[in-house]
Amino acid sequence: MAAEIIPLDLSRIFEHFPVLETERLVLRELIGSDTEDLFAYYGDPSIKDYVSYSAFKSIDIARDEIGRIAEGFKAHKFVEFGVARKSDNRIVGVCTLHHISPDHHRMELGYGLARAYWGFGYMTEAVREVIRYAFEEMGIHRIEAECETGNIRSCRVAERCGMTLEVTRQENEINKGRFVSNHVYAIIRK
Amino acid sequence: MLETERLTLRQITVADAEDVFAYGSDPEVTKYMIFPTHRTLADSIQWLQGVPGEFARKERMSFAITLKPDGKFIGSCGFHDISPKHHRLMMGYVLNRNYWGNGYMTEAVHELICFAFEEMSMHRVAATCDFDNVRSAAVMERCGMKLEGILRDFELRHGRFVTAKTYAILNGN
Repeated sequence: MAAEIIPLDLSRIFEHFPVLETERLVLRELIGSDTEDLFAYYGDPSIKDYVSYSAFKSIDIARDEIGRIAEGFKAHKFVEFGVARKSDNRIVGVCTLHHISPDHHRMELGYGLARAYWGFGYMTEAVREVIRYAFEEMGIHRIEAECETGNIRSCRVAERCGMTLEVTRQENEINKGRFVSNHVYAIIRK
Repeated sequence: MLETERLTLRQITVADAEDVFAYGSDPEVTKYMIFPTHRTLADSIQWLQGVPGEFARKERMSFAITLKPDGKFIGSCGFHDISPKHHRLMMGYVLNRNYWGNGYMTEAVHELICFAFEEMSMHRVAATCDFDNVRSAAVMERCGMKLEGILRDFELRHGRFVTAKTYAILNGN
């Protein structure tokens, strides 16, 4: 009889902020000098085309966000990576491991790139590595990613990383005063 | 307090502990439920003691399901993951096995959906059930909920990963 599976112990993961590497990118902790780059991503008003939360109105909010992200890691709540380009150490986007459920060996993945860096394959490269990290180093069994049904690029990233569309949640969120539907993608550890 | 033809849905309290334990300790009931099987009455009491706090923090609303006219406790149900911003919430429900097969769960769930739409300004009510829990799926389908997808290995329950079906209904549909 197979041994009973017990909740995950993620304390080791949260001891030091992880650093992940791909061919062209480093996924690392966000620091003060990343503020402008982070604001380029979170402060872009067109972000509302894809997500229901509002764009940052000022760079101060981006600075506060870096602190909030650090607090979230310290509290073992979520891991938000800055996705940095090796060539110039600019932050091109973010990748977040959140809604982590050690009881169910499950987590959700969030990801986004500043518009200036679209079309290079950066997001797929980063997400593939984060999925590997979650399965191999964290012991996660199931990873979910959710996006608006109209966010084709985000759906493509999920698909290229081996995720399968499992659910479409109809009229699940309000964005810009209208109900929007969400696709839920998932990948299971082999 | 909500009422249907045969049921009353009322606030659940610590006084209901023995009735909660009756279904909570029944492995035939809990095999499809997310909570671990209650081992002693203390487990039921502990859950019930947490209910008012969950309500106060707007995390969860739990009702006792009772039979008219004498108020016999037959199960519980309620809402969680309540998002006023997005006008959506999740629903959960469970019935003591002795009362299965009478249409009580469908009657209670139908009332919960109406309450969510009419009194809580909700646009969307969703719920999940174990892939193999055909009775629960049937309850949701009878209430007009639509299967939206399958969540593979969604929960770790009783030592194994189990797959869930996810259903939803929209206000006006």
